Amino acid sequence: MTAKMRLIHWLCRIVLAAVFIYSGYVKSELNHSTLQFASAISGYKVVPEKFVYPLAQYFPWIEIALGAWILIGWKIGWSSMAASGLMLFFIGLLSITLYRGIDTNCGCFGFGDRITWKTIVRDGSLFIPALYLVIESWIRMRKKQAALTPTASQT
Amino acid sequence: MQSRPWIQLFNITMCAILFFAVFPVPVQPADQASGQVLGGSPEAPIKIEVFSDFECPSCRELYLDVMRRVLVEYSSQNKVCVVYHEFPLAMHPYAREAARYAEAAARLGRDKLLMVYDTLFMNQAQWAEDGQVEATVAKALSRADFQMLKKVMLDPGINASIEKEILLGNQYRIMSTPTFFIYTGGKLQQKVEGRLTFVSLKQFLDSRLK
Repeated sequence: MTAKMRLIHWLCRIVLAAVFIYSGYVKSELNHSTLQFASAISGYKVVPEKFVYPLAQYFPWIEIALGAWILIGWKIGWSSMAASGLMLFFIGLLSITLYRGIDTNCGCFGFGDRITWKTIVRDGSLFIPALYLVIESWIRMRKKQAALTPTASQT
Repeated sequence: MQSRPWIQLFNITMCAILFFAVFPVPVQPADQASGQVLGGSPEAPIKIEVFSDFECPSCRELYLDVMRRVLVEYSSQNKVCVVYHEFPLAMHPYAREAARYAEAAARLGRDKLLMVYDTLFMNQAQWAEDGQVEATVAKALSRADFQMLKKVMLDPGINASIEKEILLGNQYRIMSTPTFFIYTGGKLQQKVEGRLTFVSLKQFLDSRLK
């Protein structure tokens, strides 16, 4: 891995980790915001009401754990894949909500921003570093496998 | 790319720093406000303080759909103390007058206060349109009670109390109504801006009352 690629790798990891840890923190019990997040989840009108509060309680911790996992770098392929999946889910949910004409809070990185196409573009841009890490780790895995597979000349 | 153990240790430390240094625990709002106690006593294990505007539609929904049920299911057993603070927004022309009636009704007792709250929120659309706040309140009370309320309204202390509540709201950095704070044991547990369903609030209250 070249120095430039290493820098990009670290930038992607730091950006993703910071985004997930921050967005988890602002919605969590630590920020006294569980009910505020529950209110944001209710606004999407996709989750049955009795599951809203439990989701609001535990989801921020999943984001924080995912951010920490990406930062630590253990099994980076899997963690970045989880981040990509989560980003895709958010983009899909925001798009559907906007399409349905529901005017509600995004609840992404705080509670002030309404859902607009800009929100979707912002979240979409965060999908790029996650996808980069997935592709990078996939290429690395392929190279590793190729190195382990004995070639015809070696046998 | 496999991270070396010292790099992993560094990253874990960074995570900890992010939590405990970069994100400080938010300052807790002071818990000594006056306000109007709609239900429960100040000794109740949970206290909910709401900053509300009578002319705001979300405040109406919060009061009628959520807080009234809290009053019936929790405050009646003194599990939750519900305190309302008047926070009339400048954009609502009749909100301050409505707040004055509520402030005066509070001096006549909790039952009169609740009657005034109920009628103001239930008939919000009408009086917000025609400005007939007095007529709306008059319909909810007996003639004698309304006369007494009118007398209390003459007290300049009513306006002073509302000003005090607005000042308090500004200290709490209230940006919109409704905004409410939930405390247990005098410690801030939750801050919510906007509406919330009763189901979520009930699940939260039950988890804290266990």
